[in-house]
Amino acid sequence: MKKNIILVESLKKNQKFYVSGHENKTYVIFITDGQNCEGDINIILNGEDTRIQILGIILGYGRQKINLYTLQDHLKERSISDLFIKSVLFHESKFKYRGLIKIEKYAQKSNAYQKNQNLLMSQKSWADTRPELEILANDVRCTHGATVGKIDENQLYYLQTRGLNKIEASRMLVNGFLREVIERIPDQKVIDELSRMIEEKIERLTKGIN
Amino acid sequence: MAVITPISDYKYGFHKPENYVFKSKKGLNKRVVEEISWYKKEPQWMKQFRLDALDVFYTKSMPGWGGNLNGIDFANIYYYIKPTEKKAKSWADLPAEIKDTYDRIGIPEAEKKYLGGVSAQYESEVVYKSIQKTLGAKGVIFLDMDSGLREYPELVKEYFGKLIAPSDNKFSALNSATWSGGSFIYVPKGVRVELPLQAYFRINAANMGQFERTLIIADEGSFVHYVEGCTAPIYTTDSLHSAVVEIFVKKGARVRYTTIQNWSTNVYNLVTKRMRVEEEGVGEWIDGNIGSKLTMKYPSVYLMGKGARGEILSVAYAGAKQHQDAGGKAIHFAPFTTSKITSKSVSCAGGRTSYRGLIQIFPSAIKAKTKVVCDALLIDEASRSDTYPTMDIRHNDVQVEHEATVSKIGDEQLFYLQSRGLSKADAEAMIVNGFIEPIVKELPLEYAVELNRLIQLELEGSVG
Repeated sequence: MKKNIILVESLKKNQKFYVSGHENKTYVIFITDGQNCEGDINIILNGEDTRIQILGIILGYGRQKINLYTLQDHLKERSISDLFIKSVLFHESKFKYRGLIKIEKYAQKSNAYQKNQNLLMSQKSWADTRPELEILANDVRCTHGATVGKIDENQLYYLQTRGLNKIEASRMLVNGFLREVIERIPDQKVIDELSRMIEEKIERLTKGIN
Repeated sequence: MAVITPISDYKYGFHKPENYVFKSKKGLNKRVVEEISWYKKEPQWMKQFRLDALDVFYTKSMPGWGGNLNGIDFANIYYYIKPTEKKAKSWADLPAEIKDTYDRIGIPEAEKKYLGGVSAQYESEVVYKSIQKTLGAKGVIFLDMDSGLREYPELVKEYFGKLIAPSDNKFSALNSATWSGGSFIYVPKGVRVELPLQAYFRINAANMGQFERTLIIADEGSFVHYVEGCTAPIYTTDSLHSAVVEIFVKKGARVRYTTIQNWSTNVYNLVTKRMRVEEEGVGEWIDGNIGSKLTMKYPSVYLMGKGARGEILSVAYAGAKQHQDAGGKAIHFAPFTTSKITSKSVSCAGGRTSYRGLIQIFPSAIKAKTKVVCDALLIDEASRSDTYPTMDIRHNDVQVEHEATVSKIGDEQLFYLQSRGLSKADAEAMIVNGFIEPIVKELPLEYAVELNRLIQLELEGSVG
């Protein structure tokens, strides 16, 4: 069986992935190493009935700058792409994201989704998000959404009334926030491994929260 | 059914013979700008403002994004035309030709009298204006910009160009150098203007640019609704419309600005519109773009005071060979500010609509909230829709949401309506009108009716 999960752990210029007909792939962008990085991930759906998932976990901290560009380019009919990227930004980290969905003229009956959610953990963290659509075919359905915000005070309060302290409660909420993306990976082993790595990082990063 | 011979392929276009008193030379240079200023007998500072802006215009490059602006030939445009020598004081004094133009737009007779100050712009200058006596008694100023400058030079000097500097972009520089006409409104403290103030705009000379300039100042606790509507006749060559609108919303005041833009499909419509909203103030843009070849217009709200609120409703329709690049911007500077942008666009017969927007939240804007919703409808396979939002969030104590959808008219919806006896065109028009309804219902009734009728006509044409 062809490997259908592709892990992208570092960003570079002009990363291109071609997907041919009837393939079903999942791309996992996993940036947690604290290094400044910049790059683009272009996924070209060059076949009919292709299905792809792009999942993203971005953990920013220190004075890190992350600059990510994604492209979902639909060239042929009945192709489906679904992007879901979440970032959690600590300290003075800055995340700049631009994601484009392009449905070309002959890609009728395609569906494309794009969702980017950003959790700002400090007053000085930034998120700059640009979810873009260019639709040249009409028989399609595309949606995109983006949110930026901080941890919900009500949820934090609720957990604290249940006996957790503020750090434990924040940890639980951040982990829960990212879990929604991780759980979409169609391989339990990968899910377990990435979850473990994230939880360790979050534990360290939330120590300073007050 | 009666057969009507079309005058041209632009359904709402009609071209009246030109009858002008003064026309500047084609093209743009220092001399033309000085001439405009001289002709209007402007104070020295305004002349200097124009000349400085002209220098800025020369140094600025054309925007490298948005629509295709290659068709604009700055050398082939008349920058100033004065239509008639004197301004008409009442409807009866208006030249028959101009009255005829308004009749064709279809302003009902009863409404002409009923409406608050009707200010009609024919060519570059407001020629007809009737301000209700009550407005004057309340201290409300509602003039064309040229008269505003003459009669209230100090007030104009204090605000003019302070919100949109000539250096903002190439077209704000062009407007600053060559502006003519537009409205000047001042609403004193605590005064509510109950009737919408309206201005009807028309341009009627081939190759004539309209560079109107509007300045609205709503003092503390006041309210005003300004309505600007346009229909334009068809020309053989391209025409340029580039307005600048500056609005100051003081503490606790509310301003609503409604536009229905229906230029003929050879007009480039490149407009800069901005509101500065102070503490607890409310600024609202309702922006409808139906006509023009290319529109690039992003009304913006600068939320400067605590608790200020901005709302932008944008509706765009692009038919054959049209590109509507529209949207909105909300910039949050102060705590507890909120903004909402709702955009609905329809692309048809090869037309292209683009939503372009910006949300910017600075660290000073704690507890700011914003929501952007964009929906696009594609009628046929030749059409195109884009969404280009930017959300630049610079601290964490905020709530930011953006969502967009692009889809076509559902086959089931069409089938259902057709099974009920509607033609395909009627069914499509009904669905499109339903789609834009959240915005249409915010319009004054006569505009809502006109917009629905226009969309119906457009769709009839496109489905054949």
